[in-house]
Amino acid sequence: MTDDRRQILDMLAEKKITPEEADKLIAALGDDDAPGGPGNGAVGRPNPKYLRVLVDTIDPKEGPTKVNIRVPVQLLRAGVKLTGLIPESARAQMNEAMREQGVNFDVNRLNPDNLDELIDQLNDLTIDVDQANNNTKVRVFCE
Amino acid sequence: MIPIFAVIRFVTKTGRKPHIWVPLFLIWLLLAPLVIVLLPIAFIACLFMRINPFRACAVVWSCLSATRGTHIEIDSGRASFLIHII
Repeated sequence: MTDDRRQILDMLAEKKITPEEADKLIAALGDDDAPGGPGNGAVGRPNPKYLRVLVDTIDPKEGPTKVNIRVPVQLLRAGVKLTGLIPESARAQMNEAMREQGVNFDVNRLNPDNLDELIDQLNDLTIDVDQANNNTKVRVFCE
Repeated sequence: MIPIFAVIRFVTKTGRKPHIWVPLFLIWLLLAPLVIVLLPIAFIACLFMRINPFRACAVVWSCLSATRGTHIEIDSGRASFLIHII
């Protein structure tokens, strides 16, 4: 949800505007912010083709260091299909090992059925980490 | 389609950064006989692990094909490395 949409809904909750006015304002924000719009991966923006990871840092020993990684989203799809080949006993062991490490994730849930939904959501993924002290910038996004 | 070429760049002792085109299709051709020899063993291993061997082949092929477009570039003060799969 964008800040604009949240602001409109807050105004509606505080009864500063009527539901009709809120509806008009949300519609005026454009299709990009509408439910079921591209933010949800339905229409508009094309599906992401690559997952990019950019790291820009200054290492005290090595000096300026740049890392630029581009991974095809298709490889993620193939990787998820690969998990389907893992024997059930091994999956149970993986789940147990992750649970011991504090990661409550079930590998069995990672299947091609919900993969498309995951990739649709990647469209909106942008992670920016900016550490001023270490002069480190990390960007993870899809393109 | 599986990758045909890979471009590799690294820093030589003289400080140069040559781009090397690696013809992956030649490597696939060289590996083909080995794959044919190992295929029955892999097939039996899949059956032993209760995995559909045809599905396993399809997944491995799709993984290999999906590597096209992968780009990894690391550039630091002393080291520089790039690999781009085409």
